[in-house]
Amino acid sequence: MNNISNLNQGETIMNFITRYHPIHDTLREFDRIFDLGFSRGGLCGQLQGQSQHSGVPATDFYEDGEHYYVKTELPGVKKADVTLAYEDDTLKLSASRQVKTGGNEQSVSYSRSVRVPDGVQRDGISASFEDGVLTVTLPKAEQAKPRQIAVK
Amino acid sequence: MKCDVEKQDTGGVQSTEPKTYRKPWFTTSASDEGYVVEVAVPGVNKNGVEITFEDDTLSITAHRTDTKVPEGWKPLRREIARQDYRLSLQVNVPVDPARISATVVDGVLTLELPKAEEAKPRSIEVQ
Repeated sequence: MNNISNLNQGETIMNFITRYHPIHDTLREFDRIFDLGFSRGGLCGQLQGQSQHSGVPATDFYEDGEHYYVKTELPGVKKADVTLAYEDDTLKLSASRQVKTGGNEQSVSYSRSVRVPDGVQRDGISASFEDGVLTVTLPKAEQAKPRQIAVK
Repeated sequence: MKCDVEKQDTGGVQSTEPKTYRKPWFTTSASDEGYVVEVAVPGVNKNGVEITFEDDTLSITAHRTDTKVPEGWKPLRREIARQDYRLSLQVNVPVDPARISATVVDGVLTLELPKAEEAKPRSIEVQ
């Protein structure tokens, strides 16, 4: 359990196209076979992000013809405490929040790195934050857009 | 129950699968004045929360507003659960039901449960 969550922390980069990972893929396969409808994407997701302190927020990735979209759950985080950086084809997301339990204050930080395969137009990246859900829109670079090729 | 759902003409019920809920992550804390429950409900705004307090049970149902994927978005990987949230808490301390208040800010539902008057600490003067 600890091993699995550690694998995801720190600098591990999540690809849009995920590569073979012995532990995750086995778990994901397990989820697929048994159709486990747990929150956070099955048993695999459960193990990855069971607690709020695990530091790896649940994230969805989408694409359409023009954009990539990254949607992340960051409950309780203030807009000002979200940091987004794009460098080396990697979107780096970090955020923190203060949790008050009685008189104690505790800081919870989230971070996630996403590698975007085909390159994006870095100037056009935008983000919105609503009800604790961050949505980042990354416009695809010209070469990544689908292209119609006419048969001559 | 299932038959009722199938017989409905209006509303276009597509599935007879029972609706599933997800138990949200939450914290509780206590002070002299009362108790605070914080529930993490990302994707929920204030119109989507139903709270009832009955027989010492605090029931919270929160509906996500963002479960629909916009047209044309092709999912590449999905980790965010699309279920609504449901949480039931047994309140075994005397609280004043009339003064329970709730707010939803940035995906966190904060419930304040003030202690009932008779449960507050009282200093007794020696005469």
